[in-house]
Amino acid sequence: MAQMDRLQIANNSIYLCLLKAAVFWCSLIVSGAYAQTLTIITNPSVTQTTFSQSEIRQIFSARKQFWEDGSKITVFVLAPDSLQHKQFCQQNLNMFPYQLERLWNQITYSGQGDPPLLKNSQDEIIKAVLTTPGAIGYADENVIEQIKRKLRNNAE
Amino acid sequence: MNNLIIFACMLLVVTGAVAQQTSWHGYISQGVTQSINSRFVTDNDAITAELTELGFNGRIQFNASLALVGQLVYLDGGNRFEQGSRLDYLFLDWALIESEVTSSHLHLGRYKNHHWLYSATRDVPHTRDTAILPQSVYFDSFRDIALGSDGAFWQSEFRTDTGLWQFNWSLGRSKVSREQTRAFLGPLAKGSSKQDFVHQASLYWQPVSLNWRLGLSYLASDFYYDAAPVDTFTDGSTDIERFVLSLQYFSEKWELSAELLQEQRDNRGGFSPTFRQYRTGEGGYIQGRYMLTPSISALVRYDTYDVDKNDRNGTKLQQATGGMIPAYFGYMDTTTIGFRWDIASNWRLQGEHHWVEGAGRIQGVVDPVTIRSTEENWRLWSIQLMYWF
Repeated sequence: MAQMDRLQIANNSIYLCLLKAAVFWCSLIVSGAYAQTLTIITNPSVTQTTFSQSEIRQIFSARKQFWEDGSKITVFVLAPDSLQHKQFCQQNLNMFPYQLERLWNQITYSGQGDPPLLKNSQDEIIKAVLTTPGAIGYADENVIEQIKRKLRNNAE
Repeated sequence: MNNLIIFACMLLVVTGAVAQQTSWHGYISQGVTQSINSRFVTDNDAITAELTELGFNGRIQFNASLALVGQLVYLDGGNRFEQGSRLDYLFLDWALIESEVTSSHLHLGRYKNHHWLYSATRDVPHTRDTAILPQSVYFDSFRDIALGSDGAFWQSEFRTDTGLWQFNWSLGRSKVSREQTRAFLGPLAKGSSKQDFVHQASLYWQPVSLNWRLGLSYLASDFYYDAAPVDTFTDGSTDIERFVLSLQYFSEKWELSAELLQEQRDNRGGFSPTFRQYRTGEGGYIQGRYMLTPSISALVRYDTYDVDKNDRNGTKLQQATGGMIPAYFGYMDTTTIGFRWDIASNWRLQGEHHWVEGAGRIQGVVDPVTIRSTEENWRLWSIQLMYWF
């Protein structure tokens, strides 16, 4: 029962966050090669509501490790060989996945910070972001919409 | 060195107790290797497992702007460098400025060299495109000295409309062990070496598109040699100035890396109290990597180094030593092919073959044993399996 309660709370958080402040910044350029529109999502504890492309690049390349209030940033991404990650890197970071991995390795193995955490699916990213304080990630708008719809149905 | 490693471990454990957050990473890599017609890696053309790399690093974050970081490493690289454990880095990372347009970090302690393309992670197997880096720029006899130094390192980044600018500056000194002295001067050296200082600065630029990276770096360093009472060498010193021009190009399916080097040396003493020699070495490499699939890539590289730009084929070297040192010790040209296969997440198999003409980067100062064991044309190969976390 306690587990169910926590799940409910988490779901509420998902619902609130997605409705209130999930779409902070998104790619406006959708090339023909990619059919999806990826959106930045953050945990409700993150107070920042807008991001420049430069900030997104700093965060996802692990150069920026802390939010303005001093709390730790936890970044979730899909596996480097996934289509969505490739799309996110090229459209939003101006990089190829292998460039980004190299930056992660440089930062991790020269002691300058932690790399993003890999997740297997967009559902997993959304769940991880919304249950980890200070977390940020990305997901397809359609996937977010599906989860919102499911939550609305559950609420009804 | 062991005392330093114990101190570093204790420091990381003790400070970890008061940390806001700690994180740990590491790697393990084992390979088989062989150098043929040269003792560069293995003796007597033997195939051996002298390609072991273990590393463990920790980051202890005290608050958003201050952290203590360090890495312990165990290395077995055959004859390339001293076998055993070392403290690669241990420094306080102080984030001085963090904003949308700029950031600056100061590292105090044993910092890492961030001035060349692969210098900051040359100790980490899965960040290198090959186990043996291009020797023109990443001379293995200098591995421990070039990886980092004890002192201060500053890094600033500026994100502007003209692109991403990164400025690095460092001032420090490295301890030169007896083994490193012998690796550079040869087994006849009985005395001890000391690095007085190493001063470095570099500037990198990436356009807004981020598909290019261009850099220029400068190094100045002085070394001293104190001869033993009974020694082949006399007291001596070497002043070094080094300029490196670095370039990278990133494409979806392939990437290009290149670095050009000029190294000016002023050698005093060493061979005799009155010996004086000015020498400018030049070299560089160009490397292409093609991604056949997201997990498999192939590499080709050409690396060249001339010990003295006024004696590119080594004939003056041979004449000056009365034929004792063959001309091919005046240069080293290497052609390399390699492959990489990412077997699974955090697992990689990497192989390479090097065809080498010349021996200009086998050792700093050539000794009779090296001359006898190194032919003009020699080869080297390795296969390495690596895991990291």
